[in-house]
Amino acid sequence: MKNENVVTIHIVGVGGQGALTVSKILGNASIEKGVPIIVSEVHGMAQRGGVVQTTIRLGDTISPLAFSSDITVVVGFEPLEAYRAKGTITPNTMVIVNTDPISPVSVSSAGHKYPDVDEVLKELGKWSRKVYHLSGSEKAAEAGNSRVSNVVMLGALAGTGILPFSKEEIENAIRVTVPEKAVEANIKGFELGYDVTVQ
Amino acid sequence: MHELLTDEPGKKMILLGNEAIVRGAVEAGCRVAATYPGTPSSEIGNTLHRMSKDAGIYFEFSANEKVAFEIAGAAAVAGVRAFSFMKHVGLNVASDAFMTMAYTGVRGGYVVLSADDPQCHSSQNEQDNRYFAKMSGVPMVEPSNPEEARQMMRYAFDISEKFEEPVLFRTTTRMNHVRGVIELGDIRPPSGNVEFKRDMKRFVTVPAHARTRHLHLLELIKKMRDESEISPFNKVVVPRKRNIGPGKKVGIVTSGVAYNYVMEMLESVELGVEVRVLKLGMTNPLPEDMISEFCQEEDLIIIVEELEPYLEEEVKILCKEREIPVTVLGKREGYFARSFEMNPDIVLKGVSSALEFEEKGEVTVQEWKDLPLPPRPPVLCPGCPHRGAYFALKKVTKGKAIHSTDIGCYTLGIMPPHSTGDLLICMGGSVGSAGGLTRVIDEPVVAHIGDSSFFHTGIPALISAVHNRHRFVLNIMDNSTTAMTGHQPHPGLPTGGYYKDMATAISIEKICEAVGVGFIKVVNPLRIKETQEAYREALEYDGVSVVITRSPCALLVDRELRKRGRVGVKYTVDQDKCKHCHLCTNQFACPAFIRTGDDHFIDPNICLSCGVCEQVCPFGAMGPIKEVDQ
Repeated sequence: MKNENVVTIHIVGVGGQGALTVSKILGNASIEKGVPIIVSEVHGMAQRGGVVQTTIRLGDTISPLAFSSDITVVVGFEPLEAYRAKGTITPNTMVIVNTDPISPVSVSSAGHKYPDVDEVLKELGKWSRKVYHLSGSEKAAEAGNSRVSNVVMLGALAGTGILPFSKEEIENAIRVTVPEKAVEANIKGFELGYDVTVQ
Repeated sequence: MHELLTDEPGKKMILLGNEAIVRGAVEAGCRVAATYPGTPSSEIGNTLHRMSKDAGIYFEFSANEKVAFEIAGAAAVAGVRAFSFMKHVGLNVASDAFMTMAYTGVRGGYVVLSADDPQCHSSQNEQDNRYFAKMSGVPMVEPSNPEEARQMMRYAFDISEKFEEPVLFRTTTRMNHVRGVIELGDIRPPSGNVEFKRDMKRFVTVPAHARTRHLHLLELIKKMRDESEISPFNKVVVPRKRNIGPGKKVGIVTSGVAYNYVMEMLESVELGVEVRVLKLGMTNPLPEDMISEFCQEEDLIIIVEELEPYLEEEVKILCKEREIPVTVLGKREGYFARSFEMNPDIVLKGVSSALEFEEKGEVTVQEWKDLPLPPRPPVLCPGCPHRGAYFALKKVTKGKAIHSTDIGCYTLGIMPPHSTGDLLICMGGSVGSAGGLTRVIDEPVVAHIGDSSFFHTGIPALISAVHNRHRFVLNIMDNSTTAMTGHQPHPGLPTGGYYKDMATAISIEKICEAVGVGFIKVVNPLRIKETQEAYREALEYDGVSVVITRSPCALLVDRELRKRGRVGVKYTVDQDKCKHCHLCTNQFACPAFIRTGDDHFIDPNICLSCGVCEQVCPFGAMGPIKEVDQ
C-alpha cells in the first residue's frame, strides 16, 4: 500500500519532548511553499509522561493517518519508543533515532529492564532502509539550549533530503514559529542535526 | 490581536482542528460561548480564552457542561448566536437541558459541539454521540478535517437559525487534534444586545406546552430532512483512480474521519471494481432520497463509519422500506468493529473482505527480535503534589482502604505503588459512590476528587453524603487548576474565562463548612508528616471528613519560575548515606528517580524541586544539591 503523492513522517517519543513544535515548524514551511500538509497529534492524558505519536503527511492527501506500511521515515525522539514503533517500519522506511534514553517509571519502580540502546539500533538497522542516530541532548547543549533537541531531530530529518523543503525554507519557518529569544539556539541546533545526516 | 481574528479572506493558515472550529465561530458572528474543559475539545476553550474579548464574544468556563449548555442556550433563546462545547461524556451531563431545548428551539443560531473520543484516548468510554441527535431530533453535522470544520461551523449557525433549532456539531479526536490548512472566510461581527421577546407557550415547557412543542419538532424534522437533501456537505465523490474493472459496482457510504481513510485507500490500492463514495456531512436527519438514489445505482454498498452502526442501520432500513435491490454490508456482518478508532489499514481490511478481494502487494518478511519493552503509561509528573498526598495516605492506611476516585490528573494514582483506585466511573462520581460503598463494606473508604471536579459535580454528592450521615474520607486534591486538560481556571480561582483576573473565587473549605462537614483539614501535601496526621484523624472521624491537600500543580510552579528566569533547587542522592532499601522507588516512584542495579540517583533535568523525597528517605540520603556540588 503506497500513496505515491505523499511523504509520511511518524514521530514517536515521550510527552513533553516537543513534537508539537516540530509539526508547527513544518506547517509554517508548508504554508509558505504551498505544500499540502496534514498532521495528526496527541494531546491530553498521554502527554503526562506517556508515549506520544505524531504523524505528518506532506503532499496530496486528506488522510491524517497513513497505511502502516507506507511510512517514509520514523523519527524516534527516544530509542525505546523508536523500537516500540517497529510495526510502522518496513524495508523502505528510514529511521532517525535520538539515542538519549528516557527511562520510564516502570524501570525504576516496577523492575522492568530498559533495552540496550546499541541492540535497539542494530535491530532497527536490520529491518529498515537506513538508520541514522545521534544524541539530541549533546547537540542541543552544543547549540546552547538543552531544550532544542526536538529541533536537532528536525535538522537530522531535513538533512536526509526527503522533505520537500530546502534547508533555508525550514530555517525561515523556525524563525516564525519559535519565540524570538530562542531563535538562535534553535537554528544552531537545526544545523547541527542537519550535518549528521546530510550526504 | 490574536491570529485567529485576522480579517483577510482567502489567506491560508495552518490550524489545529479545534482552532479551525473557533475561527468558524468567529466568522459566523458568535456572541456567547461556554464550556467545561474536556479532551479532545479543550483547545477550543483555551483559544477562546485568549481572544474572546478582542472578538466581541462573551466566553466563560462554566462549573460543568450543563451550566455551559444553559448559558449559551439561553443567549440563543434570547436571539444571539451562541456556542457551547464539551467532550462526549460532557453531553451526558448537559443532556437534561439538551433534550428539552430540542423542543423549545432557539432564535439565534446555537451550535452544540460534542467531541467524541473513539479509542478512549483520554476518556472513560467511547460512546457514539450521534445517537443524541437521533434521540433529541436536532440536526447534526460531522466534519472530516479542519477546513471542513471551519466551513461547517458557519453552516451550522445558518441552519440553526433557519430552523430555530440547536445543531449538534459532532467531532472525533482525529478531527480535533489534526492540524491542517484552512482558508480564512469573511468575519460577521457579533450582534449587540437584543430585546427578550416573551413566548411562554414556546419556552416554558410545562406539560401542555411541551406536548405542542414535541409535535412542532416532529414536523420540523421533515423540513430539516429536505435541507439535508440539498446540503453541500452531503455529496457523491468519485475517486481520481476510477478503478474500473469487470467486477461489481460498489458504493461506500461514510462520514467523519472515516471518509479520509476511505479516500486514502482508493488513492493507494487498485481494488479492481468501480467505486463511488457517498460522503455524508449532515448526518441527522439523513438525506433519504439522496441515499436511495445512490444505492439504486450500485450492486453492493459498504458502510464505513467509526463506532456504532449508526449510518448502517438507517441505510438498511431505507433500502428495505424502498425495496432497493442492493446488498448492504458493514458492522452487523462483522466486516468492521463497533469499537476503537479506524485507520487506513482497518478500512482496507474490512472493504477487501467485503469485496472478497486479496491485496497482491509484495510480501516482506521482517523477523523483529522480541526485545522486552518496558511499558510507559502516563504517570504523575515529577514534583506533582498528588504524589506526596498518596504516599502519606498509604502510610496511614497501610493499603487497607477502598478508594473511589474521579476524573483528573490524580486518577493516575491508580497505578502502583499508590494504587488509589478501586472504583472510577465519571466526573463527581467518587463522592456519590463512596457513600454506597460504606453502607455495605467494612473497610474504610476514601473518595478522591480534584478541585475542578469538586465544583463540577462533587458538591451535590457531598451535601447528600452529609445529610444521609455517610462515613468516609473525602480527599479533595486541590492543585489550583484544571490540570489534566491544560490548566484552565475553575470557580475556586480568582481567574475566569471573561473576568481574567477578577473572577470571584469560591472557597472549597467554606462550602464544606456550609454543608455541615464536621471535620475539615487543609494541608500542604508536600509536607508528608502533616499530611499523614490529617489523614489519620480523618479516618478516625465518625462521619464525612474532608482533607483538602492544597499545593499548586508542579508544571505551573515550574512555568512561573522559568518566566522569572529561575530554576528550583535540584535534589540528589548522597551515595554514602543510601542503604539501598529502595523505599524511594518502591513507594514514592518519582519519574526523576533513576535506579541502576541497587543504586539510586535523581535526574536533575527531570527533578522539579518539590523536596518530598527528602522526607521520604528514612536514612536522610536525599536532599538538595549543595552549591559546592554544582
